[in-house]
Order: sequence, then structure tokens, then C-alpha cells
Amino acid sequence: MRSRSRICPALIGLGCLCVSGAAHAHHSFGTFDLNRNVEIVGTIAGIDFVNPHAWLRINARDAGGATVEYRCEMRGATVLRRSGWTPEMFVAGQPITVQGAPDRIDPLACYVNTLVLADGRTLDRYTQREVAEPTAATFARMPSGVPNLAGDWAVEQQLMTDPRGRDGSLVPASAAGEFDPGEVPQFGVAIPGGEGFGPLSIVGLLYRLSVGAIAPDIFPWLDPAVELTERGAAAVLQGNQHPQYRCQPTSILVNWYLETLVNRIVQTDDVVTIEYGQPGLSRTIHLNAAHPAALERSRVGHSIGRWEGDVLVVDTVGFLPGMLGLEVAHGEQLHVVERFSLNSDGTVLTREYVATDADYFVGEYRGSDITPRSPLPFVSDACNAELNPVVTL
Amino acid sequence: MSLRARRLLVAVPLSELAAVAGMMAPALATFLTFDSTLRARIAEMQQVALWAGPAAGFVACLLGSWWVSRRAATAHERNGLALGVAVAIIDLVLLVASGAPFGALLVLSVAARVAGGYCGGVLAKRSATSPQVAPVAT
Repeated sequence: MRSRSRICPALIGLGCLCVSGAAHAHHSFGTFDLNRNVEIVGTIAGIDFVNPHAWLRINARDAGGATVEYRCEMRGATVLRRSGWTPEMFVAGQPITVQGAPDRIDPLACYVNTLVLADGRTLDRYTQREVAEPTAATFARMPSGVPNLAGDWAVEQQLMTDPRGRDGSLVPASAAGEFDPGEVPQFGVAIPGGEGFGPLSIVGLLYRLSVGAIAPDIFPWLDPAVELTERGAAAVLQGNQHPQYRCQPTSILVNWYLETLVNRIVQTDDVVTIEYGQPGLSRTIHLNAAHPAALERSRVGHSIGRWEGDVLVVDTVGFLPGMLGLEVAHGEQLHVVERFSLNSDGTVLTREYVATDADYFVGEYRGSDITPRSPLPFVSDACNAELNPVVTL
Repeated sequence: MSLRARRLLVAVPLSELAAVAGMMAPALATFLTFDSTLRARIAEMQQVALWAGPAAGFVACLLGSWWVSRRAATAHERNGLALGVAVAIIDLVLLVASGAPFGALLVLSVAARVAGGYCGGVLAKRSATSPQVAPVAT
């Protein structure tokens, strides 16, 4: 299979202006041509239900009448589950019609806009099926009296305002209903590469960026504003080198919210463990302990925590060098302080964090996230980088 | 009286185009060369545009109105002011249509264009009324 670039092609040359940029590469259209349509009528050959994108395989006849296997790209496995989709919905041998956008490079690949199932039901790319509401914690406090952070947590999904995913912008799922299909929110931006996006759109985008008509804060997955040192700039991993695009953990900070996966916290009086939805990433926070003199460095570092009232303050050091965010690298001197707190009914977890590493960036890498309890139980779907390679056109 | 309509028709859009280009060039250069995260680059770009936009607007309207009114017999300032106001209106429409927030950039850009247009008219009048130096035969 050739490229399935998720990095927006035109703007990458302008320094990843595409807001998600090299960043959330899955939020652009890559090699898919959203100004053209394709319809594939055939039977389901199978589904690769993986992150960062699932792929539906369809047996259908090509223009010459021969039966070939097409592959069409869907959203990621975990966000599909969060939207009420399951792999069991796609039974091999059942008829299916895929309406989508063709790949510019691979004639046998496409981007799913709408699926028409055997029973006539249609599913748009962003259709939300039977989505449950988050539930409150079983008990809001531990027997010791401190807040109970235990449970499954997932940052709110981002949905495109066009349910077919052809144009418009990503907005929080709770607000998606407020927009007309394809509408762009105030201070937002249409995802580059969408339907109708052309060279003039790039000029317009640059103009709107310059005059402040686009607010960077509208994109929650972007790194906080920090200036990189010379060493820090040189250490940033791009494209296929970035762990995020190799299906490897990036850091304890960004993997909490990237791809809006489901994370799990388990809590006792002595230890809090966080298992991330990103495969291979989990950490232990030792409560009321000190960092050992001889640290064994790792990508998650060594975390100690203490309760300050109802706020869990976590201090982490002892990292192996790597990427802290999508555009920020760090070294062994990285120091991260996180503050976790619950809202009054225990349904929303707020995390504020500050990271410092003077060798790699100037000042503080400071941010926060707000995470509701997840109705979908913790799941760590497989991530397959080979099916979802990054290619810059 | 006599507004120089044909020259205004040419100069108004060109002045706005030059002003926008004059704003975006340094803003884009900042964006591309600033070693930082995307958020920081956008913030820096917008800071540059905040002064580059009005400055470029002033200079573009100054030159535009000077060109419009430099050979006018009368009403130099009026021609200059007409250009400045017309360019300011176009700029305002562009800013509002693009979704720019009401703020310093919007106010300064509009004011700078009107001021630049007027100053260009004054400049053209001065150059028109300054004593001509006759060539000296040697």
C-alpha cells in the first residue's frame, strides 16, 4: 500500500501551518482527493479495526470487470467504539456500498464518507450510534477521605461539522449539533484539503491567521506556546520519525488526550497507576514517597504524588530523552508537575501541568485538559503504523 | 473639486493589495523562522501583523494617494483622503468578512489608511506647489 498521508500536503511546506500540522496528522486529508467522489459496491472482505485509522476491505469489480480488493479508511478504532461502532458490524461476505473520496495515488484505496449497509442503513463517517452518557464514580472519595480518581477517562471526541467528513472543521462532540454541515466555528478554520479547498484557500488561511481571525486555542491537541532552544529545535522528530506516527508512546502529557483514547486510573492509598489508551504506556505514581537517589530512567519517568487538600500533585523526573509533545523534544532534565482534581460530583477530571527543561525549551510548557468519565470502558486498541504511514506529498 | 476617478479606481485596489502583502510578508517570515511551537508562532505572527498591517497600510495609501493627486490642479488632499477612505472601507470589509476580532489591528489599520491617504495628498500638493528649478545652461 502506498501513502495514506495524514499530514496536510500543501501547508506542511509552510511550516505545518495546517493547524494540526505534523501534529495531529490524522486531522487532514492527506492523499485523499476530497474534490472527487468514488462509489464502491461490493461485499465486505474484512476490517482492520485499528488506530489511528481503521480500514474496511471490500471485494468489488474494477472497471475491467475483475474482482479486486479495495481498502477504505475510516476513523480510528477507539473513536469508532466511542461512537457506538464495533467491528462486529462488518461481517465478511455481506453486501456494502462505500461512498467516499478516492486516493490520489492508490486506485484501490478510498476515504469513507458514507457506508450503506446490507439492510439499507446508512452510516456517515462521524455518525454517533447509541452513545451512552458518562456515569459518576461509584464512590467519590476513598475511605481515607481523599478524592477517588479511579475510573476510565476519555477527553471529549472531536467531530467534523460535516458528518461525512468532507469539509468543515473539528469541534467538540457536545457542540457538533450546533453547527450546520460543513460549517466552520468562529475563530476556527476549515481543515485544509477538504472539499473546495484550493490555492486561494491557503492565501485566505494565511490572511486570517495574520489578522487574528483564527484562535490557536481552538485546537486542543496543539502544544502550548513555547520557544525552542537551538538544541531543542534540532531534537524535534518529524513525520515518520515521530513516535506518535510509529504507534509508539510520546509522553505522559500528550498521550492522555491525543486521539481521545480511553485511559484508566487505579488508585490505592499508596499508589495511583495510570494506564493510557496508547498501547505500551502506563505509569505508577508513588504517594507520599521521595524520588530514589539512583533513578532508572524511562520514557514515563519516576512519579511521586501528594495530596494538597483535594488536589493530587504529581512530580515526575528521571525521563529518558524523547518527544514531550508533537513539536517539542526534551532531555534527561525534564521535570513535570501535574495537578489532578475532580469536580464536585466526580464526573470530570481536570489536569494542569507544567514541564520545564531549559536545555530544550524556554520557560514553561504549561497546559491543562478536562476529561470526563468515559462511558466506554478502558480499551487499548491495536495501533498499526504500517496501515497508516505518514507521507508528505 | 475634481476627484481623479480613473486614477482612484486603479489605485484603491492596488493600495489595499500592497498593504495586505506588506502585512503578510513580515508576518509569514516570522512564522516560518521562529523556532517554537505552532501556537507560539501564530501568536508571534499576529504580533508582527499588529504593527506591520497599519504601517503597510499607511505607506501603501501614502504612495497611492500621492500617485493619484500628484498632477492634479486642485483638491490634492481631497483626492488623497478619498483614496484613504476607500481603501479603509475595503480593508474593513476584508477584516470583518475574515472574522477578525474587533481590536487594535482593525482600528489602527483603518486609521492608518485614512491618514496615509491624506498625507499622500498633502505631499502631492507640496511637490506641485514647490518652486520649479529651471535647468541651467552651461
